Amino acid sequence: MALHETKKNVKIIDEMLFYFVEKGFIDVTIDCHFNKVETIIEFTVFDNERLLDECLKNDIYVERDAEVEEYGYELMGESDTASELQLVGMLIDSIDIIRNNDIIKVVLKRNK
Amino acid sequence: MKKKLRKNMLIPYIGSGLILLAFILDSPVNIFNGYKVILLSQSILLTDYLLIAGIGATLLNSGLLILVSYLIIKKLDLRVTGPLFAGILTIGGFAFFGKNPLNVATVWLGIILYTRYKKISLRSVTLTFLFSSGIASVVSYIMFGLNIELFYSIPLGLLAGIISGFILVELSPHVIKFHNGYDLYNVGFASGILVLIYYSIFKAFGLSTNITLNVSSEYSYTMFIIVTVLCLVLIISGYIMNGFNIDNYFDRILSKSGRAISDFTRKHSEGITLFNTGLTGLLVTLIVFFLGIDFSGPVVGALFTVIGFSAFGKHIRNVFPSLFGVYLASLIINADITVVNIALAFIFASTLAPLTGEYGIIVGIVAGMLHLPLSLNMNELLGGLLLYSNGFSAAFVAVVMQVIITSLERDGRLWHFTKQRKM
Repeated sequence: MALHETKKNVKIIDEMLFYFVEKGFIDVTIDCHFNKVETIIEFTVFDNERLLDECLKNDIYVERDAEVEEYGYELMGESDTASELQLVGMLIDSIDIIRNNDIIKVVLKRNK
Repeated sequence: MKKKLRKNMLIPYIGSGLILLAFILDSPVNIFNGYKVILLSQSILLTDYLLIAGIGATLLNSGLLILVSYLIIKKLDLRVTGPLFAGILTIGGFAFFGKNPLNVATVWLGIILYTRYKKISLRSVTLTFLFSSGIASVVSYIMFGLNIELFYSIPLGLLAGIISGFILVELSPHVIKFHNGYDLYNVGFASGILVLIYYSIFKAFGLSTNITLNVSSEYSYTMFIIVTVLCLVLIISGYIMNGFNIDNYFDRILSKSGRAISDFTRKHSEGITLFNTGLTGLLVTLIVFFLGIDFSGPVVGALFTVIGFSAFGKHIRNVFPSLFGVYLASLIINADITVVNIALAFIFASTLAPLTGEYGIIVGIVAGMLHLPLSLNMNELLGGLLLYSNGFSAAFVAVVMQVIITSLERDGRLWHFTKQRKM
């Protein structure tokens, strides 16, 4: 298990929520599931203009980087720019974007 | 072959090439004697290994540290990403003026002990591990510069190195919030805090350091050629690895602000990243050459750092304004840019590249102008015991600039004519 696991999960949530609100998606619900193997964070976002799928595809690239694990996680949620989604991408193992009409579900998984 | 190059980013070839050059340019006897001098030197700023040990031993030192770092990365089953490329080249660069296997290994030992104590993998702290050796001078200074018996000084030096490494892992992410990633040399800032404490303790005991600016100009042209060839090799290799084109250069590299954590190698961009490291390094090298700055050990080390960090935040769009700012400041205060400490402030000002990337050229220039006087003052404050003293001072510049910008900014714009920032 990595250090500061809970703090990292909270910061991932912080950064993602900031991202959604800054993009104008103000109707967001968060569900978190923590277990010994992984953390699953689900964001349910109301997006009737159907813009979020493309935004997320551009702004987040998922490839977990072990070596930055303890170095830069503190930067998440600290700035008013969206660039830290790069960091989110470095700290998670997968992202699923599921659309159901005007509702989009973003599921992040982080293995321990 | 291409896949292998993508995974190692030419690092083993750079390390081996430097070692090979050492034996081409110098005799084994000179190299052996010189290496002994390097290992036993105080290694505080500015200890130019080219001056005290000769070109062979210095190139061997750099090549060895690069290869050892690479082998550790391999052992940890990691590929050479942008941050790791920067970390390895930084070690190789500072091996020209302050880092050697003895003082670096001591700090590393502290980090390894930390990972054992916390029961975590060394993989997760590799980045801090590589950059931590900026504090290595403290180890050498205690061991060989305090003028006390080696029986006492060596254990004391080891202890200081181990404690430093142990603390740095927690301190580095902790302080990154201070400058919000706008100072690329974050571990330099964290190390500076520790060195400030060490040096204050030394001074309380009546001990002080002698900061010298003696550097070698004997190998200037040779080193210029070596650095230039290295940059050309990186450019050509990157171009080939990227499929004989640079079409994605803007999208993958130049469009980025460079703010930490910017790993340019992500999305399979290793080729274009290598191209950027070579091009950025080459342009800075040529500027240094045309300004008449000697390619001494510290200057070559600084250039290696620029090359390394061009995989981790620096590129040709964000690097030059802060350098120009330092140059302007040197003209205003009538400081000679060819004097080594001014030259180092000039090259290392590139650590502020993310400010330019995020806020524009004018901010970058002002940041560079602030960086020069601050960095010159830091050496006095830290007694020359911090190899990354420019990284330490740049953090303060980054904070001040951010506060000024935040105070002036309205609706995402700094001035009415500037572009609205992406939110």
